[in-house]
Amino acid sequence: MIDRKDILIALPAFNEATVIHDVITDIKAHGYTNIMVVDDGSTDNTTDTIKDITKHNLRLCINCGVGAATRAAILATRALGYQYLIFIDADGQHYADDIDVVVNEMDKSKADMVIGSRFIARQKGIPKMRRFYNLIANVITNAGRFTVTDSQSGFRMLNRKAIENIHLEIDDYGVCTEMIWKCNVSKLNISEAPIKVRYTEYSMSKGQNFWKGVKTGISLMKNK
Amino acid sequence: MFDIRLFQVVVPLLFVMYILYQLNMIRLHRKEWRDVLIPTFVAFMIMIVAIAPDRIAHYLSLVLDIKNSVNAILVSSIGILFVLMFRLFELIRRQRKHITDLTIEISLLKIKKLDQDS
Repeated sequence: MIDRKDILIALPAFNEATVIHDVITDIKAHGYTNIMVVDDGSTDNTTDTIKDITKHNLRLCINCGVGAATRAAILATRALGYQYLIFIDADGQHYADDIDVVVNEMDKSKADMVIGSRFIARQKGIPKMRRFYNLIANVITNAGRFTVTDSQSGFRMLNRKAIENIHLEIDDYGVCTEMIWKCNVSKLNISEAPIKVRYTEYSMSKGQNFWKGVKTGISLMKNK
Repeated sequence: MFDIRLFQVVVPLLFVMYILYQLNMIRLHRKEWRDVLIPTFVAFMIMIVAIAPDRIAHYLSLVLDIKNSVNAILVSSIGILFVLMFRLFELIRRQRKHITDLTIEISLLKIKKLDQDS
């Protein structure tokens, strides 16, 4: 049984001041108190908004990209000694009640990384373009050992073995694929758990688009 | 009889000074060989072109199978510019990586300090 005290929840955030307070409040309401926001050089008042309600705050003084923020969170977790690390998007698209689903999957499967997948349960409302981007990303990602249904999900849980063994290099969106590749290289097990996602106008403006996809592909090729 | 023009003396002299300056930087351990190699090579090439511009242009037009010597020089220059541009991109990528690593390191130092204090 995984103890909630051993879990650190990390939220990489860039200019999320309008929504992040509600996201953290929702997570805390579900009994997870170890929360760390990784502020990726926000120019709004993201850090001020959350400094009194989170246990740890990590602020990158300049905007380095979601990959860099993810790397910082993993390094901080190593230093702070937590046994588990969960990544959740700070834009409010993930549901806090899915944390239990991911935690239970890790407990049950004994996997080293659990990915919250939007595509295991047939969920309506996922925009067609998002499905298309994910399809392409899945094809690229699954060139390795593992076959995952949602390679670009930001909802992930890592155990201590994964925290110690995953050494990320990509600074931008390619980090999702890179993390799976690094698991492959380090012979770590991956499992998936079904999650729900809410797509709002706000969260849609934050995610992937065509050019980001092209840039991600280039950075992945450089780091292959 | 060779008709030597002023630039055929001044340009090579300037670039010899530049190459010597680069070599001195290596001697003083302020630069590494790999940092100096390409600029020195480019300086050397410009020096050669400045000494015998007509011959080089003619030779390039033969090698590249371009009738006009000026066009041959232009095509070669564009090629060299592409190489330099790729090198510049690589340098920027390396610098950006260093900046990201430093930024993460600084933020981690802060969080470790706060953790120790609490």
